[in-house]
Amino acid sequence: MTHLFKSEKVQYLCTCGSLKPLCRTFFCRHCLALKCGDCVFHEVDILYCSNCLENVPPGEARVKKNQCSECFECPVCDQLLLTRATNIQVPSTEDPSKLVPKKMFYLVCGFCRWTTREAGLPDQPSATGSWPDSDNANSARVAALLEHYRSLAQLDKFEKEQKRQLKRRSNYLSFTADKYSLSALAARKRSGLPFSGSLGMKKETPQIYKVESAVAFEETDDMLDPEIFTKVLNLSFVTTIDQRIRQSERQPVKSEDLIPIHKFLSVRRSQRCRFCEHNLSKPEYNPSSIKFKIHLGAFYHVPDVIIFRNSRDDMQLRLCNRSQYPTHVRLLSLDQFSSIAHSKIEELESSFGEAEKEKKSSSSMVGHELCESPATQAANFRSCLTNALKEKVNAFFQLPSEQILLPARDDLAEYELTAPQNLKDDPKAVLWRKGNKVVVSTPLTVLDDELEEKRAGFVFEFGAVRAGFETKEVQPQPTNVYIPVFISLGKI
Amino acid sequence: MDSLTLSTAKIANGAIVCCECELQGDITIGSRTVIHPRAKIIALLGPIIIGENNIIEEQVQIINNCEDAMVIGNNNVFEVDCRVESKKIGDNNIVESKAFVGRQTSLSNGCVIGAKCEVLVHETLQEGSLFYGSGPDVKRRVQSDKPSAQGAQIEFLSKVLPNYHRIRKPLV
Repeated sequence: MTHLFKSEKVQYLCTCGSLKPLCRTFFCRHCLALKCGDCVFHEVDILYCSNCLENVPPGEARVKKNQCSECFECPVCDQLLLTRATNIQVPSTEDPSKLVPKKMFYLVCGFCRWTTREAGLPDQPSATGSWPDSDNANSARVAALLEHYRSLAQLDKFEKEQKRQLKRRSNYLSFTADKYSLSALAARKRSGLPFSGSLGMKKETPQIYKVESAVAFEETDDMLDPEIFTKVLNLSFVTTIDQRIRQSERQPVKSEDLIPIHKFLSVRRSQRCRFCEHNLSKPEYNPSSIKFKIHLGAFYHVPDVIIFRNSRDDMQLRLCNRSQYPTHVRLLSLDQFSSIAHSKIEELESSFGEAEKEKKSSSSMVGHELCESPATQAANFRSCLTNALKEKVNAFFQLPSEQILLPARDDLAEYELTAPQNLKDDPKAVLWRKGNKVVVSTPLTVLDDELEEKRAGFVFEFGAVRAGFETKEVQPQPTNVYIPVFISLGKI
Repeated sequence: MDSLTLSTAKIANGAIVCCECELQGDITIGSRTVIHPRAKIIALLGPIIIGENNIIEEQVQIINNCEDAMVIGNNNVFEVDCRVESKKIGDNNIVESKAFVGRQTSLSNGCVIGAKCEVLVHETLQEGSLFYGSGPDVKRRVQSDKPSAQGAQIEFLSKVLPNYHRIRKPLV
């Protein structure tokens, strides 16, 4: 049933101008706009290992190079390594003449049957054995170079700060020092002695970490074996480039040098609206949980449009409201929307002039203030209109003119025996109604019969409640949200 | 069911061959070999000679399309739904599920053909060679560890299979 909701036929226009199906978008309840995966901030929430489901805090992850300490990957085929046990006979500790079975563990890949024995690694006595880490021959040199450059950067920073302090201090001194005779500093400046910075900010000049400069040699360590020209190469014993690069610290050339690689940690991300910086999607802390702490999917806030019947004479669309509040929906043609948008922009810009008088600049507004400011709303309308007009459309719907009420989602409705409330609907427009679903008749007029793929669009107007107003005394007034929708009808 | 299948299969003593498997043509089966039900061993043009201690699981197709004899050695394992047309298979090999070994390929000893791999190369595979991967991306390498023997599995099957299936009588 996923294709029923994930249809590529009905696509909504996001604020960034890209068309996405509804299930791939979020609905920011502060901006009252659709946000898709391309126009949100993606942030790293938690790091975890996808095999042992262990949460790793970011600081620890950085030390461990973003790798899990327990789980290993096959160096040949990149699959997970499994631990297998064998029994060997070992002389027991009490009586050396007796042989006692002992379990030894080795790692094996389930896909390509590579084992740690092929690398020459001895079997470990414990299941979570101490398999060797890949060691880097140049790690000492790299660490020394890093220290050197880090100290250089610190020196740079210190010098910059000193310059800034000097500039500041000089102004300060010229005003106050002579007046109130802050003698020590003023005296030093007059006498031209260098600034010691002893007045409060005691910082030593950072020392540069000395590093030996690299020396060039004519013959390097990893020279090609001259036998490569004479001996026949057996490709089964040579690593592929992929395998070599995966172990970039060692880059083994022979396949017997391949050792197990620690599994890399996976990231759980949280997504944040780029404009108002509220969280749109935040997962739970537990890595094995599929639930979310915050999940503002558009699927649960914006009414859903599905092609109910796809025939040229009798086009029908089904609207479904999955939110907790009932909404009034109106389907507008693009022309109607543009006239509404222009009038709203004028209205907002006139009120925008008044807000300017209160000296509120957009940079000082944060969060929901920013979303509600008339300047923002006017800008949103403008961009929505330009994006909607960019889309090519070669068929038009005849849309019902009045508002249609879509009741809220009620999970108990299917168990109720009482008939649904009688709502006065225009029988020509609204064909069928059940619970929170409504089927609307939208006859099609096609512009160009020759083009095979027909595409039609309209603008969806529905009422949404802005977040941040949930008090019981005041009923929140729904604001009208406009979202352009484009439907590919295929060949009809 | 024995009377319906006009098979002249020579089944050695100790081999467990279920009645529901399909045997066609001139087939020789060695002792302690287990052939599960629904296996198909079809000797179309030439005979098939299967050695001892083999395990041939369900839906396996061993087909001989040439006039030469097809020889399968000892201790091999043919996992579910694999297809083998190779003329010569040695000892201790494993052909995993849904694999396909073509007519021009010969398996020596200790080879492993991974799941869903199609091996059609015109050569005799090196001892211990291993094919893994899928589709057009089949890779090969040589493994040093030989596949372990299946003795315990064969014993278990010899005891359990007769409880649930009719077994063909040995015919020498």
